[in-house]
Amino acid sequence: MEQVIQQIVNGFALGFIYALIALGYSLVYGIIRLINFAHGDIIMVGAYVALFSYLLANLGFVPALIVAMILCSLLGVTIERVAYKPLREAPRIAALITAIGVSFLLEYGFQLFFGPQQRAFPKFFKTVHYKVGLLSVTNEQIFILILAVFLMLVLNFIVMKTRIGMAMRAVSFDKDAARLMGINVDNVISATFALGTALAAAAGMLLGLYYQQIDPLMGFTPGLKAFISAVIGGIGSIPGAMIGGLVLGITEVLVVSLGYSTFKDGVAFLLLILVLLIRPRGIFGEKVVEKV
Amino acid sequence: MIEQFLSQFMSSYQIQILSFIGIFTILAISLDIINGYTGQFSIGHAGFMAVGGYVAAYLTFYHQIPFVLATIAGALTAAFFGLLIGIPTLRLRGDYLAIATLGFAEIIRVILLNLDVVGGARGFAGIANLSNFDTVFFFTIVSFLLLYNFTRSSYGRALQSIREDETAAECMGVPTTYFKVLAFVVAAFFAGLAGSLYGHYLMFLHPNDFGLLRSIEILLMIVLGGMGNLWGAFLGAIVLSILPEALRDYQGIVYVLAVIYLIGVAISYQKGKQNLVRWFAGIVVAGVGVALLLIYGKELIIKYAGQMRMIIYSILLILMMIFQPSGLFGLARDLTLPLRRRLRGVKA
Repeated sequence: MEQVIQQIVNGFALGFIYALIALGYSLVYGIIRLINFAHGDIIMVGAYVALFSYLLANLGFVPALIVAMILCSLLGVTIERVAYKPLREAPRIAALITAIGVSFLLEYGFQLFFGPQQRAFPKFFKTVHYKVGLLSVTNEQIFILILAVFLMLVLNFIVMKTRIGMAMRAVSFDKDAARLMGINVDNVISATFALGTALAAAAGMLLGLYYQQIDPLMGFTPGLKAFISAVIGGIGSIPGAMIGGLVLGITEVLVVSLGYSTFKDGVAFLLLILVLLIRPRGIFGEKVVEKV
Repeated sequence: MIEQFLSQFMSSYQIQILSFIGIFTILAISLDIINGYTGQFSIGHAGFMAVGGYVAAYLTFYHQIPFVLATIAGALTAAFFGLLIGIPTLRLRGDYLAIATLGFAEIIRVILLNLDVVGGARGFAGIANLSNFDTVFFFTIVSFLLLYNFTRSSYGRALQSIREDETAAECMGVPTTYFKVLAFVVAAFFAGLAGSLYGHYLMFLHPNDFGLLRSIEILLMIVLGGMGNLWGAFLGAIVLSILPEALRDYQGIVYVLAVIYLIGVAISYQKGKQNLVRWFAGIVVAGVGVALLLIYGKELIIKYAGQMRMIIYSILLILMMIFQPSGLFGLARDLTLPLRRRLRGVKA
C-alpha cells in the first residue's frame, strides 16, 4: 500500500509536466483547431537550449529557463508564420500533414546537428530527499510541482485578465466575428503560439530534470501524451488539462511499478480511445454544437 | 514467370525495388481511400499492415496454410481491426481521429513486441519465402483494379461526398457513419494484404518496422503523388520506393536534386505565369544555388546522406502542402491541360 502511495506521489511530478505541455497544446488547438504535432518537439528544443546555456554560459536554472522560453517562443512564432499561416484557409488535413512535417524536421534536424545520442541533462541543484511519514519526496519533485503550478497560474491570469487574453478567447470563439470587432487575428494567433511554446520549453526543462537525459526524439511521445491529457480533461479547459495530466502521469507510473513497463506507452492510447468512446468532450469539456 | 523474364536484363536488386514498389502501391492506394477519398485522417496505416503480415505469417509458419489463404485470412483480420478502429469514427472528426489511429497502431506495435509466439522483440524470423515479384505483381494489379472500380462506384462517390462536406452529405441521405467505417474496413483489408506480401517476401517481420515512421512514409506517398487519386498514390509509391535507394550515393543525390529542381521549376511556372521574367530570374538563381551546393557541398552531402533522408521527407511534406497540395499528379494534370484541350478541340 505504501508503495502504491509512493508511486502516486512520483506520478504527480510527471503528471504536472504533462499538464504543462497539455496547456500549450490546448491553447493552440483552441485557437486554430490544429493539433500542432511540433509542440512535442518544441519541448525537446527547450531542453537542448537549457542544456547548452548551461554548458556554454554556465547559466543557472532560472536564467536558463528564461532563455529557453524566449528562444522557443520565437521558434514557435516562426513555425506558425512560415508553415501554418499559408494553410489557414486550406483543408484541415493539409495543416495536419504540415504539422507532422515540421515535427519530423525538428527531430531529424536536431539529430543531424547534435547527434542522435542521449545526453546527460545537468543537475541544476543537489537532490535532497525529504521523509514525510513513510513517503519520500525529493526536492526536484517539489520544485517541478511548484514551477508547474506557478506557470499555470500565470497562464490563467494572462488568458482571463489581460487584453491579449481576452482577444485570444474571442478569436477561439469566432475568428471572423473577432476580426470584425477590430482584433488583429494574425497577431493574436502568433501570441498564442508564443505563449504555448514558452510553456513547452519550460516543460522540456522539467522533463530533462525528471529523466536526467535528453535526446532529439524525446519530445514526440510526451507531446502525444500531453495531447491525450488535454483530451481526457477536455480540450480548452485549464483545470481539465491539469486533471488529465495527473490522471495520465499517475496511471503511467503505476503501470510501470506493476512491472508492465513495455506497455507504458500503449496504456496512454488505450485511455484515450476509452475516453473518446465514453465521453469525447473530456471531463471538463463543453459540448460542441455542430454549426453549418 | 515475369520475374524470370525481367531477370534477363535486370539485377535481383532492381527486381526487389520493383517488388517493393508493388507492395507500397497497395499500401498507398488503400490509405488514399481513407485520407484522399473520404477526407478522414489516418496516420496508423502501418498498424493494419502489421496485423495482416503477422497473422498471415503465423498461419503459414505454424499451420502450413497455403499462402493465398493465409494472405486472405490476414487481410480479413486487418479488416476486422479496421472495423474496430472505424467505430470510434462514429463520434470523432478530423483531428481526434488522427491521434486515435496513431494510438491504435502504437498499441498493436506494443502488443506485438510482447507477443512471444511471433518472436516478440526479437522479430518473427523463419517465415517461408512464399511471395516473389510475380505474386506481388498479381496482387498489386488486382488491388488496383478493385479499388479503382470501388472509387468509381456509387460507394466511391458517397465517400467523396463525405470529404467535400460531411453535413451536406448527411442531409442528402448518405449514411456517413456507415461509409466512414466502410472506408476503414476496405483500406485495412488491402493494407493487411500488403503486410502479408511484405512478410513473406522479406521472410522476417519486426514490430518496429510498423511504427509511426512507416505510417508517415505511406502518408507522404499519397501527399507527394496527390491525394484523392489512385494514380497519384501509385506515382508517390514509385517515387518514395526509389528515393531512399537513390540517396545512397553522390550520383543519386545529384539526380534527386536535379529532379526536385525541375519539379520546382514546373510548380513555380504554374504560379508565376503572369510574370515570366521574374519567374525566369527566380529559376536561374535557384539553379545556380543548387549547382553551387552540389559542387562545394559534395563532401558534406556524402557524409550526411544517410541522415538526410528524413529531413528531405519532412521538407517535401511541408513544401508540397503549401505550394502543390494536389501533388505531382495534379501538377502534371495542370501542365498538360492546354495540350489536352487542344487535342479535344476545346478553346481555352
